[in-house]
Amino acid sequence: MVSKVYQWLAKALVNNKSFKGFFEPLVQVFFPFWTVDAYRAKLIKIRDENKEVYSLVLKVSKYWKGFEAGQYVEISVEKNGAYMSRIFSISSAPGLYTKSGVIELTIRKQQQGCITPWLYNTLKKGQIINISAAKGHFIVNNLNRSLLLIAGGSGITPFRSIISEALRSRQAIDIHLLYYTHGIDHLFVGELQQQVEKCQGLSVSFVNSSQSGRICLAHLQQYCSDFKNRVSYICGPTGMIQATKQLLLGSNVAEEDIRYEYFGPAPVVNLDIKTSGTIVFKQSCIEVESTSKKTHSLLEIAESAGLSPTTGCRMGICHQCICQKQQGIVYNTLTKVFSDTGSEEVQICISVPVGNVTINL
Amino acid sequence: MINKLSKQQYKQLAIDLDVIRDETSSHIGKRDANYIRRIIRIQRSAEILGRITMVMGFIHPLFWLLGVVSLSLSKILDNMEIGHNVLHGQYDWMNDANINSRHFEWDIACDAGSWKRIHNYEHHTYTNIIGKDRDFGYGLLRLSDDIKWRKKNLWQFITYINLSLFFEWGIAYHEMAAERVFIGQKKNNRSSQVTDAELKSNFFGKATRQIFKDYIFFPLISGPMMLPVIAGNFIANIIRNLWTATIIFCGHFTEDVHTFSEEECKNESRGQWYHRQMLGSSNLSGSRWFHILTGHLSCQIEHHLFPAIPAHRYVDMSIKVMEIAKKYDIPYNTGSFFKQYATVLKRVYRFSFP
Repeated sequence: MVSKVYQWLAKALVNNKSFKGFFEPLVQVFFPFWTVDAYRAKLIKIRDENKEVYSLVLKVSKYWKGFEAGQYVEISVEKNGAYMSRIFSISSAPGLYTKSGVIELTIRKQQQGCITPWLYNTLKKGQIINISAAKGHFIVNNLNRSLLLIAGGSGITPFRSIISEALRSRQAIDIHLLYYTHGIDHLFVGELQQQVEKCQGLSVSFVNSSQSGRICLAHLQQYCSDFKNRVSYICGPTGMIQATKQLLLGSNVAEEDIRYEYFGPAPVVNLDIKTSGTIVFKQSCIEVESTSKKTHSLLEIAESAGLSPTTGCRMGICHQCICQKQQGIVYNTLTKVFSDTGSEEVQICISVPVGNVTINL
Repeated sequence: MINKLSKQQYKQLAIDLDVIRDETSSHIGKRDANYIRRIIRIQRSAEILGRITMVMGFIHPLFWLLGVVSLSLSKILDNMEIGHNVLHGQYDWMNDANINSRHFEWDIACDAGSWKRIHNYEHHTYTNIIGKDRDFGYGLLRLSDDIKWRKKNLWQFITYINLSLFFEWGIAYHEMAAERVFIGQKKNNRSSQVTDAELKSNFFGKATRQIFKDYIFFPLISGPMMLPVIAGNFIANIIRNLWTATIIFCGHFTEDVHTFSEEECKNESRGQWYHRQMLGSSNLSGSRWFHILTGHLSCQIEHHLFPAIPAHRYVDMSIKVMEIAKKYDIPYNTGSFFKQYATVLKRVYRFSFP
């Protein structure tokens, strides 16, 4: 009730969702980039993990609400006037955060990406960035069960947090980490080996899939023969998650014992606007395969799927059809620009999906 | 009469104008974000200053006067350079939730959603097409021989003055297509995305909030200054109304602005659409601060050609647009404020009579 009155007053007196929103631009004079909906974090340092991967070490605002091992945050920075956001798993342990207020995000420089290399080159020590509250359900809630953690590439990041936290809990644990990379160095090798030495219940297999091949039943039996009795956590590229899930289901592992987290869409290398893909209309729970030869706008696809989104001019002028795109790339037929992969607002009448796109419609 | 271009020329016209748009688009970035944030900061400061100094009128009436001027400035900036342009989506690329055509709400009686529906769509798509662009004369004024003369047009000069004084209410009423919602008039060529009930609730919701703010809340917390604050807020709203109405009339209703019939515009190409936008709009020349106070509607031609480009870039773009107008021998309607406004008044007066 009180919050309803407050909201109404804000709308009436300052034409804004909240009074903070009205004062935001004024506050930004003193605290650049301050926003109502985000927490501030100060960059303590950028640590190189190897040539392609770096970690952001962040001191988080005291108002931030903390996190559980395995969760992620959305960080947002201003690039040439535009707010850009990306989602990263927290790779450090909650214990480190409670002790020192510090979290670490471990990030691979995507060669085609427009943010991850840019962050590395642009961010300076001491700089303030905005982060969201921690989100995500990829957490371990029962350490009494034996665990099999399967990581692919940068999918190791939440597991680093999960393992450190499990060790800190001083419980008797039984965790096996099966860690795949493809032709590149494994991350955190020294640290993981130390942890294995310290703790009996932890074992790690480093697998290089360019030599041993992708994950298969033989691997599971070889590296973790009792995998059928464990709760499996999978984090890595989409294809790897799907393959691993099928393997486990095929070995009669119960579905509720398989947990996984997709790592967000990878940047598309060959941008061909005729690329087929799945268009997910989130609110209506409709999925459409776009396979036809002719390119269709998201609006046309939505309408042929039986939806009737708000529209107007259908030529990119009136901005009535704007929707929140949650992820995926779209091609703007008016500006001839490919969008970013992350969440942003798009005019669906002039947006052609490139590959998989999720839209809040 | 309008000089028609050949099919090839229309095609080339579209290409030439697209080049200007793309050239400017490629430079949009930090500068534009800083610009609009600075204008928003000036507007917010002016509003806060205005509301406070108006109450201080009990110390000296000059404070009250300063408050009225400051609040008027705030409302004009909010409606013109910020609201109008943000609602056109000119700054959507910033991904800033508060500077965004979907969420922005402005300090005016008309709610942003209804305005976007009618203005951005009807008016910008069907500019100056008699019968489709309801903004042409707002259904109150007869500004062209294409519209049938009625007796009420005899006193339309007075209607015009009243419309200017209470422009925000005129717009709010007009954008909800009130004659349809309240009186039940239907036009068969119009479909609606929203129900009449929604339109009504948007209209009354916004109207209540605006009246509550300017005539109930701020006067009440001003204690003994209640009446002067009501008067000050009222005057600030009137000043804003006069300014916005006058500038907007200069954009489409000057003497040489062309009108179009529905038949002419059937199946028009992008080049023809561009051509119509240039013929249907008129510019005002002036200094930088003048352009800012008009929300760069002083560059109405550029705004109609490139409605999604941040408006503060129109002044630079106009030089190139003028060259193109010359190349194709398209009239480019521009002049000083007083010269253009005189022709508006002439037009309102002239078409009062059959």
